[in-house]
Parts: sequence; C-alpha cells; structure tokens
Amino acid sequence: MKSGGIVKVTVSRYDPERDAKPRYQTYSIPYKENLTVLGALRYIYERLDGSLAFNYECRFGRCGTCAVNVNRRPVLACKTLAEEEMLIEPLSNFPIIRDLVIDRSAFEWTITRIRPFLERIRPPKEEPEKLLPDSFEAYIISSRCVRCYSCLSVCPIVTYSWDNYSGPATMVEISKFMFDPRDCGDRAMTAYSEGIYNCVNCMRCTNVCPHDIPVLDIITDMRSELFNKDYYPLGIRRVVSGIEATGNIYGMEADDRNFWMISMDDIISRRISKKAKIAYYVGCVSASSGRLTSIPQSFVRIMERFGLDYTVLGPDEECCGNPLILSGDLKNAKRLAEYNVESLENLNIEEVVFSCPGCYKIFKSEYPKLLNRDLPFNLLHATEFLARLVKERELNFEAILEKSVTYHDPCDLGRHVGVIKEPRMILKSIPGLTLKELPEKEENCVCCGGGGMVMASNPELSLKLSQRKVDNAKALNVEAIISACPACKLNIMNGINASGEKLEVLDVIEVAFKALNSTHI
Amino acid sequence: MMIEKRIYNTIEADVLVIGGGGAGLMATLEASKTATNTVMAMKGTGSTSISSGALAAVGPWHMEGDSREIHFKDTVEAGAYLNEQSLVRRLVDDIPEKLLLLERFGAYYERGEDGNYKLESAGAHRYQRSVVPPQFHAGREMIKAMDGEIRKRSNVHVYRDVMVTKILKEKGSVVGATAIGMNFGNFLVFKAKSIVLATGGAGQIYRITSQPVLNTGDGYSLALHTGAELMDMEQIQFYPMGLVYPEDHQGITIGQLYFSHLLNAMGERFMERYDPERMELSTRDVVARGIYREILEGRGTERGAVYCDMTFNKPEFLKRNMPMNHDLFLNLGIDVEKNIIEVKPTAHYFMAGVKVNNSWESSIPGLFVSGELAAGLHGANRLENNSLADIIVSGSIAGEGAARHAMRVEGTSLPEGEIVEEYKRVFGFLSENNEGIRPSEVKEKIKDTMQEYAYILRTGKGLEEALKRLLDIRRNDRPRLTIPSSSIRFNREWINALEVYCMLDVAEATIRSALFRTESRGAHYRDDYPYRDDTNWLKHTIVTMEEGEIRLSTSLVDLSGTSPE
Repeated sequence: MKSGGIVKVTVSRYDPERDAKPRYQTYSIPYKENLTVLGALRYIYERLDGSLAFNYECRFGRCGTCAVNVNRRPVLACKTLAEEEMLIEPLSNFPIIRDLVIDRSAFEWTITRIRPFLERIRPPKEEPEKLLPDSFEAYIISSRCVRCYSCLSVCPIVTYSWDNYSGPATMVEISKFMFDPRDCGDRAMTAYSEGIYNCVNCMRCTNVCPHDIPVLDIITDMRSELFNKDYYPLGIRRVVSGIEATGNIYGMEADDRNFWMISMDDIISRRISKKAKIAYYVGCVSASSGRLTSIPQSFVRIMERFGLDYTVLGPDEECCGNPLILSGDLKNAKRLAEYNVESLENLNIEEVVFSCPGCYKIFKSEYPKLLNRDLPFNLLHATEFLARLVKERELNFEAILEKSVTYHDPCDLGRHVGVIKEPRMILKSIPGLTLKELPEKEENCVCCGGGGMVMASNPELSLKLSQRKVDNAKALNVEAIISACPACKLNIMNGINASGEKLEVLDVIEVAFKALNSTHI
Repeated sequence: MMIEKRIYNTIEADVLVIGGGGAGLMATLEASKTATNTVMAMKGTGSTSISSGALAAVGPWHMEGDSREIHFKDTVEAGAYLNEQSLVRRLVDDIPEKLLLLERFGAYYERGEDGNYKLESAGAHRYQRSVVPPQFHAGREMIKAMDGEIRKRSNVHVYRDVMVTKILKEKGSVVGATAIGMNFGNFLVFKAKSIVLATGGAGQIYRITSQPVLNTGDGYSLALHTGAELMDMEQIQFYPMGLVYPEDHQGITIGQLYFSHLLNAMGERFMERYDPERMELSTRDVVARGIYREILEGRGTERGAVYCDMTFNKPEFLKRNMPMNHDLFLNLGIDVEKNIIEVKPTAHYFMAGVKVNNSWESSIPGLFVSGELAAGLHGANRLENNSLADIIVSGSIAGEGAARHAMRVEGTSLPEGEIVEEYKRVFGFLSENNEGIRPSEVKEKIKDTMQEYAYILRTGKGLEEALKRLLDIRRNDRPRLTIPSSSIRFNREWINALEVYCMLDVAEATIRSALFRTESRGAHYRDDYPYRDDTNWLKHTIVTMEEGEIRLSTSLVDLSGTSPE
C-alpha cells in the first residue's frame, strides 16, 4: 500500500447496556507508511469517532492489552501493519465490555488456581544459588508470555467451554514452573487437572502468538512429562498399550489392522513389501476402520490406473508414532520411527506418500528429531501427490460431479505442514464440483475435534466439536464436507450421525477417484 | 445531590496501595505481611512490566574492587548531588537482599556458564554490577514473580482497571480514596488506614515519551491535592534513544546504548564531542543533550533526529538480545540488523516526585510513596538500572511503613460530603453535549506545550510562554471538557477528562519548578543559566498547593555522605 491511499476499517460496535447485539461501522482513513492497526484505531478515535472503545497501553507489544481480531485473526494492534480492508472485532471467547474491549478478569482466577509461584521443598543451599543457563532455556521461552490471550480466543476447546481445558495461555504459564529446575511443585498434576489432554493439538494458538511462543511444542513436552509420571486418561492408556502390544492404535492383529486390503487382495498382494520407487504409507486409522477403507482403496486404484511403481508395507507397517507423541510416550515413538524408517529403507524407496496427515506430519517434523537425522526419502501427502499429477497433466478429471461441497482443512495438513492449496486445486479441477469455503478456513480452520488423542481420551468433547463443524457446513448449504484426513472423516461422520443431518463426508482421494472413474455421479 | 449507598461500594482496607507496577506490587507484598487486609488498586499494567532493564546491586557476588560505597557514589554523582543521600544509602544497602527475595518468589536472573550471576555493565556505573532478568522482558519477569506471590495471599484484594480520583483526608490523616472502575464505570470508595501511592511517572505530559498511555501523573496530582509536597519537579529524564519513526511508535525506547553507535546526519559519531571517554555510555542527560545539540545545530536528520546504528553487532546478536523489539521492527518492515534507525530523546523517567522521608512517607500522616513517584533517590539524573532496583527497595519500605501506620490507627470515618462532591465532579462529565472541547484535544495541547518548552534545553522565556499556555488551558479549556459518548463502559474520553486534571497539575508544577531553578543541573538544562550553581542551588525545589494555588519553596539537600568537591 502507498501513502495517499485509503484504508477501509469496519469496526464491531457494541455497548451491552444499550445495544441488543453488536453492529458494524465502517470508516475510511488515509493510509500513511507504516500505519499500524493501532494507528488506524487511534485515527478513528481522535478524528472521526470519539465514542469508539479500544484498549492499549505500551504501544510496542509488551503489555498485551491491545489484542484484537483483524480479519478474524487475533493480533496485537500495535505491532501489526494495517491492511487495505480491515474488519476489526474484539477477541473471541471473552465477555465484551464495550466495542473492542474485553473483560479478562475471569481468567485471573485461572492464573491464581495454577499456583503461579515457585514451590520448593527446601531453600537453596547458598544464595545466590548456582544455576546453569542451559537449564533455563525452556523456562525463558515460556516466560515470554505477555498475557494478551490471543491464544485463548482461538482455542476451539475454550470456545466450546472453559470447563474442559483452561487453554494454551494457562499451559504456557504452568510450563514455566514445570521447566524451572528449581521448582518442586507437582506441575504435571496441575496440567492434568487443567485439562491438558483435552487439547486437540490443532496449533491455532501457536499460529497467533505475537511473541512466537511455540505453544504446541511446549504442550507436547508437558505431555511427555505427564506420561512419564503416569498421568494420563484411560482412553490414552488403552491406545498406548495397544500400540505397545501390536504396533497399531487399535491393538489389533496385523491382519485385522489391514482390513482395507481384504476386498482388493488381487491387486494388493503382489505389491506388499516390494522394492519400488514409491511407498504408500496407509496409517492405522484408514487401514482398519470399515468406514474409512475406501480412502486407501481409492488411492491404490488411482496408482494402479497410472501404472505407478509403488509398494505398501502391509503387515510390516506399524503405527507412525503420532498417537504416542501426542500421549507423551516419546520413547516408544522413537522405537516405531526406527522400525518404520528401516522398513522403508530396506525397499530402496524414493518417495513416501501418505493419506493420513497425522502420519505425514510426524514423519516430516518429528522423525528427524527423534532419529537425529534427515530421512533419505521425499515425503508427500496424497493431495500433494495428486496435485502434482494434475499439474503435470497426467491426471484429467473427465467425470462430472454435480455437487456443492466445502473443504475442511485438517489441522495436521493445513496449519502443521502448510498444505492448503493442493486439495483445493484438485477439487477445483473436477468438473461440476462447486467449492464453498467455510468462514474459518485455511490457516484459520477450526479443528473437527478429532485431533490430539481427544477422540480416545474424551470422545464426548470430540463429538461436540465435530457437531459445530457440521453446523457450519450446514449453514453453507452444501451436500458434502470434503477433507483430506481419515481421522477428520471419521469424527465428522460421528458428528453427522449425532446431529441426524444428511451430509456426506468424503476424502479428497475418494472424490478424485470418483471423478476419474465414472462418467456421471 | 445525595448519593445513595448503592451508587458506590465501600471497600475497607488497612492498607490501600494505589498502582500495580513493581513498586505497588512490592508495597502490597510487604504490607500484607502484617496488615490484615491489603487492597491494591491498579489502573493498568504499568511501566515495570514493559521495562527491559536490569537491577544495579552490589551483593556478595560483586566484582573485585566494587563496593556499596562506590554504587552510592556513582548514584550521587550521576544525580548531580541532588539526591537525598539517606535514601540512596537504603537503596544500595537493601537491594542485594531484595533482589534475592524476588528470586525466591520465582524470578530468574541470567547466569554465566559458571552458574553465577552474569553481571552487566551500564552507563556511568564504574563496575559491572547489573543483575539481569531474562533479557528484554526483565520487568515482566519481576512483575510475574511478585504477582504470583501476591496471588498466594488471601488477605490481598486486587482491583484492576481502576483509576483513583481523589485521596480522602480526615483530621489531617488519609482515610481512603475515591475511584472509578474504568471498565464498568462504577464509583468506588476505599476506606483505608494508610495509603501507598505508587502510580509511576507522568511521561504522557510529553508528546514523545516511552511511558505507557496511562502514565498521566495521577499520583502527583493526588498527592498535591492531599497537601503533600512535590520535589524537584523540573527533573525529568530523557532517554537518549526514542523512536521518531514510525509515527505510531514515537517515543518508544529502542535498543541499549551499550550496543549502539549514535551518528549525526554526516555520519559522525558525535558523542566524541560531548564525552570522548565514555561516548554513548555516558550518563543519560549528557547523551540526550548531545543528541539535541546535534539536532539544534543542523546536523540532524530530516525528521529532526539522529541515527542509531546497531548494524555493526554480530549477526543474530540483536535478535538474541532484544528479541521483542527485533520482532516488532520486523513486523513493521524494518530489519535493525541491517538498517540504521532514527532516534531522539524521549521522556522516560521522572526523578521528580513526592517528597518523602527515609521511610518513604510523605508529609501527610499515613501517605506513603514508592517507586518512580517518590522524589529524592535519583537526584537530578537517574543512573541506569537503578530504577528496577528502586521499586523493590522503596516498595517494600513504604509497604512496611504503611502497615505499621495502619496498626496504630483506630476508628476513622469517611468525609461523606467530599465523596459526594467528587462523585459529582467525576460523573459530571457524562452529559452528552458537543459544545465544548474534547479531553484528548486538550491532552494534545498540553503535550505540545511541554514538548516545545520543557524538553531538553529550556529557557526562561520559553518556560514563561509554557506557563501562559498551561494557565490558559486550565482557565479556558478545562471547564469546557465534553465527551462524545455518555456510556459508562470503558469510555476513554471520560478517563481522559479526569487525566487532563492530573496532567495540568504535573505540567504546571514542572514548568514553575523549571523556571524557579535558575541553573543547570542533571536533566534540567537552562540555556540561559547553563552552569551548575552549587552556591545557590544545591537544594531542592518544592511545590505545594495552598488554596488551589501552586506555591514554590526550597529545601535542603541531604549531604550526609558526600558533598561536591
């Protein structure tokens, strides 16, 4: 934007004592170089409308009081440049005092409840005590929080209710003490009772933190601490012991786990554990769940159609370890990583393709850390793989799919790995298909409730979140919700069943396969 | 007008602490050890939590050769002998223990690889003696430690987002205060046996300031109207490096002098002219004046500033050492590792304040003052890293004193009539009429006046002009204050109106004191009296209010430890 231009600012106005509901008011203000959101608000207040209520104190990102939603994303107004068109609203999940000012006081009790002071069993031997700077690295990162509460305003669990989970800011605050080598308090217990296992791992908090606190990494480290102390919900215990016994999340025999192969034995049997260029890593969820097997089946058929040189690990495929990392069991996760990578290496694989974003994410971001080395193969999600085929004009969708659909970005694929364009590109190249976007999409997409092991530890909560997703899709008047993740599909299906709605849930792979296969559906 | 009981709640306390920054928190902590019921009323997050400083302290861990005596001398010399030396003594004596206390609460100070405190150097300290909390969220680290400890104590009640509008007196002693809840517009009355005022500085009377927007000098005004004395009101420190650009961030301090080079428009490192030995690490008044001279003499940039060059530091150094500011600039499209930025001195710290004795008690029985609002400790120029030290030392002394005082007081009553008057004044602004002048406009007028005439170089003529303007604002604008909305919920202009009263008091006290002191000392520089005059002016300026009029007088300086040669 150049100086001399005009910035269009629409602000949410609401005085709970006078108005029935919030209304929007639009102002036009002149743009000048380096104009911030705060600068725009101050301009409106000083020159155009002195009745506007907004908050700020320090003007440079340290007090946290100026956090607002700009175009539905929380930012610190003082350190965010203005956009040409802005919709400015108060942070979500808090009561509104007036216009953009929220009431943070309820959260003060949460801070008090977690005992935010150093708890020691005995005083230090000497003062000042000798402390090693390295042992305070994690502590210092956690203490960066300025309590702007942007993270709380985007947390889907907090949105549903403060009861289950007191939110990312609380976890960061607890972690400060958990990571403080001086502290003797049972911070793991606090984290447990504040609902750390109800975090769906969606990463929205991390994405919006104005001081780049790696909230999700912190939560993962905390869960690991909890796991080592044997603090975890029953559902998690079941999954973890199942994986330990059988190598898959359902604790099934290998044959049962690979239920998806039964009906396509003729094709797949000659593909199992063969040396090949491409390996398709199926993942536990879609391999064994009857409602999901059409995902791997469709993908294999697409590869067959193109005569690709591929293999599947079949009985040699073990859980990727994602559920273990989410549960906090890093030790066993590492064992699985070693096993899976070795199996793939033995087959001289060049490229591994995943239909499950959870497996994909873990290979991509956690395996190198667990194994302390880079993986020797290229990693791709099925949507990236298919998008590449479309781009290279190998893949042409000839069938017409007369359907209006919406796309739900799986957290693990969208926010975690950044695959946002590819699935949409595939959907848009299918004739007849109309894509309507959800209000919260792409990086801002809200979790369906299927993440973070919450489906296992608190299925009720998972269901509530998926029903919200269904409601949002329903409001768009679409016939189907499309996703690119078997866990999302499963959980959204649960939500649809519970709501009694008539909506279809499909994976991008399934849609792509249909669009290849028949002339008209 | 009768106010019925339901209009306000009376909140009873033994000790009322006004201000929720470091000084207020520490006072609250100390008071709550003995006073059974301590109430803290805070307007906002305060200055401490945005500070990126450190704590100067000579503890048992000190460098070879350093001593409390030298810390004392450094402080008094930097203060141009205007310090109350008994206060300085308490600071240098108490700070090592107080700093450890915070560590017991949970604060962490940076360690070297050997596990011992990493002591940093700071401007005009002869030794490296600054203990540093995790860098560049230093203040917040301290605040979190104190705040956490306070949450442990059930005899402390915290009122957030509250602006105190008047201190109530009965028979010469303080008995409480009236306040407004800024979020919901509720009128509050605190009944207290003693009060600690810890409202910080009044940076907002200047256009260019590093202080948060709520720092409008409420405490100065409250104290003045209660009958307390203000001291050395002309002494305001300008931090040499405040941003001039981008406009939205004007006044914010950037970087640290120890990793910055200051250049004029010709690219000269001009501090060679003003302090060739210490260069940028000279005292803040010298550096600030140096910058201002360069600008005045035409060697400044087009925006009327000088350059701050931090690009010579090793790659990643700035990112590591000032992560929050580094990130702020990146967001605004400026990479400080590669680009030089424009700076000029910014109103940063008020040595000016309420006169206190060495228990940090004002001349009004039961009214204690701590932190930046108290005068005397820093003299005419505050030494770097003495302020974060000050707040925890003075905070605990004032808190302790207030608790002791409270225990001696029995059976007070509140002046109902005054409460009604104050209620009328505060709520009188809420009539919707658009005839008058908006408080934010008046604020701008005050800021412009102070920026023009009471900045780094002052002259008698300029100060006279400033006084004229301020009196004009007081006479003609203040009675016409009108606010655009009558909502009682977070009504910024309503709060602004109340703040205008405070700012006018502080500004006038500053101008009158600056006119009065016909010499140059520390941060106060008179171009028409450019030299320090120890014969006539080795004394404090005192401001009091009598029958609504400001009176000036002087008082002796405590030279019990050392005197100018």
